[in-house]
Amino acid sequence: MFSSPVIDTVLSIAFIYFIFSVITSFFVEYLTFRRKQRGIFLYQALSKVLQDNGINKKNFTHRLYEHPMIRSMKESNEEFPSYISDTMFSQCLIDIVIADQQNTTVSQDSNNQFVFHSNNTVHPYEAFTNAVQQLKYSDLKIFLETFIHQSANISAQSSTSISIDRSSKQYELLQSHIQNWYNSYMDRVSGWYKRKLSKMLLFGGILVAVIFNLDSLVIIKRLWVDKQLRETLVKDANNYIANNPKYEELANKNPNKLISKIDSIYTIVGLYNLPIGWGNEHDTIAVNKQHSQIIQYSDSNIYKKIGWYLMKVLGILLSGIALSFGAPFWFDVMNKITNMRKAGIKPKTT
Amino acid sequence: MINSHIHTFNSQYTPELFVKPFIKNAPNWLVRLINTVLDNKLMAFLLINALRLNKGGIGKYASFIEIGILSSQEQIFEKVASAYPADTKFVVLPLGFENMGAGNVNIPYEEQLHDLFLLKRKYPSRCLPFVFIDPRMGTATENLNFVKYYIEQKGFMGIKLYPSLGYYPFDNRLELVYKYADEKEIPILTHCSRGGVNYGTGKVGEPVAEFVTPKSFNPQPVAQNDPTIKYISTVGKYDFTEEWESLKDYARFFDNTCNPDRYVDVLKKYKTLKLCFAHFGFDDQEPTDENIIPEWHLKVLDMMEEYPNVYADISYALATKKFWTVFNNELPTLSAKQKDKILYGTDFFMTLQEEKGDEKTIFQKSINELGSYFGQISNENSVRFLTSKIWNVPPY
Repeated sequence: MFSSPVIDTVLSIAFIYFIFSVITSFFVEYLTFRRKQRGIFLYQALSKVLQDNGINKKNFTHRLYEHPMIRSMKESNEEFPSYISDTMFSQCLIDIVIADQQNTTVSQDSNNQFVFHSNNTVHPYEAFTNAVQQLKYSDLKIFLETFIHQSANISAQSSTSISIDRSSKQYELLQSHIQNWYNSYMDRVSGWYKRKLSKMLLFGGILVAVIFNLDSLVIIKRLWVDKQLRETLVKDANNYIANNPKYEELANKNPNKLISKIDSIYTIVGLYNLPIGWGNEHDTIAVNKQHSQIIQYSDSNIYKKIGWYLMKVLGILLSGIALSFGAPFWFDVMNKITNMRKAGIKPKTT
Repeated sequence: MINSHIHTFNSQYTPELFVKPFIKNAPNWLVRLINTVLDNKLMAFLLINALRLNKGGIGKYASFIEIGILSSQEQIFEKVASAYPADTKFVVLPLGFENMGAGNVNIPYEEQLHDLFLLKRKYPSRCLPFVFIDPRMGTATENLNFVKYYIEQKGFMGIKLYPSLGYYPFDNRLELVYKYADEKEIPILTHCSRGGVNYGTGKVGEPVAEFVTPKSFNPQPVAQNDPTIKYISTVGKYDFTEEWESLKDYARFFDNTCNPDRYVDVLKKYKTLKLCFAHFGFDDQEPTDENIIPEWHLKVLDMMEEYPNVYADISYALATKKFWTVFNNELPTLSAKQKDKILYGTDFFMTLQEEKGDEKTIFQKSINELGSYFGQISNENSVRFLTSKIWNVPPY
């Protein structure tokens, strides 16, 4: 077993970051869930391409979400569904574009009751093409025309087919092209959402660091000088990794296990008096390297106090940034260091 | 029965600086911040519940904000409908705010009409929508075609005007609309109160003597000696992005556009035009002094006597104590001609800003105060007003 104070300190701090990263992730997940962020983000992303408030004065995103198929997925009026399948998207988009120009008209019968008529005489593909042609020249029109062009190119190859068959084939192709675009767009949207989440994780990480007074500089100093504490944390980290070799299994399949483990480990953290939490014993801490002891710091020099505050801010910021990397990252770091300490043993994860 | 005046639009259709006139002396950044807060559902929810803690004070705005922010058109319609018997019909009045100069809207006005059409499809004989037109939306011909499309093809029953959004009713871009409405006997309902969207908390005070209105039906929509001309663009848009020096000046401009006198030239040209002055000329300028009868109210009464198809509705006013004192005194003195042209409407959900503005309370109060006359204003008068050469009021 390879061991050094540097490696053990890194493993210990990774273990602490891992614990608080889980808390941060829970906090951010809770916030995004409460605020229905995922659904709102999807709506905003679709608005980028389907909204044309300027030229055509149409908001197809709004109409898409009012389509009965998508509307039925909303739990309440204020909510947006967090996921729309590619099939549903293509069907609903075609429907709302057709309905926009289909000219559903109203008349009154002999009893003066209003009667609605839908002039639905042409094939949906033709209706879609006609509806797009009716739009004024805009990004929205260009966007929708692209799907028509893609379908029309293929149809030229099968020009011998009779008209209805051709339209049906074109319609299938239209749906397929819309679905392909939607899927690739959703890949990008997922990337944007992850970037947004990472910002939220940074915010959450800093907040957790402030709440728990998680000052990286103080913790590292303490771990560096306190051999007993370091060894205890290393031992616990090793046990934790040995019992839970894969983070995904731990997080996805048995979240309760993760929480209970974290809970018990946080108790250990408390038992070993780690410099975490707001209290006088940590706020004025200094380290006497020679004697490996913790001494109280009671200097009233104003410059030293300012320096202390600056270091405190830096320490908490560092912790916030570290926590924003997320629990999987710190779990991976722990795993790699643990394997490195077991010299000669091949890492389990690839 | 028919409630001839309700709204179902929500904050999604309003522009970013919409609330500016309601927040006295607020800089634009603060208005935008408030708008952002209200746009956030969670923040809006917290704000509404915080307001509710102040019962009797600003807490009265909680229900108004809740409906305006958190409800869809359908939910608002169903909310008001629940206060009435199941066969009650409602004239739903949309408003388009794109041209008021207060910035961009989340959902364009045409989407509001689309949603309203879907509402009509769901409640075909109960939802009787009007189409709102602002002359700044297009040329005279474009405006006419816009109105014709919604009336003839989408089943909208009338036209809504709101001059205090910043245009004069005699704007030449409305002339073809008036001509069409007059020929087809299509009802027009116009806002007529010294209060509302652009007044906000601004008290107008005495009219400005030198304030000269532009010549009727000419291509220049704004008076050149308008004291607030510096804020107004050549097409008549009031620039909300300017930091206003005086909310009073600002309110005065809109007060001049909304004055029923501005319709005199319109009615001289189209004598049989079916025109309803909403709110009966009552206002928020002197809301409590029962001895002061609003000047606009008296003007509207005169016009109802002079022109055969000039109507008035009692919407919003009926949620105030002053209205009932004034109206109960004058009702016995009104001519049959005037009595035949008064309509029952409530202005839901704007009325929720009033202490006793709950729809059921207003409805019951109106029945109690008017007795048998309530049946006339909520049925016969309304049916006559709404019936045109294109649409009849569907039976109960």
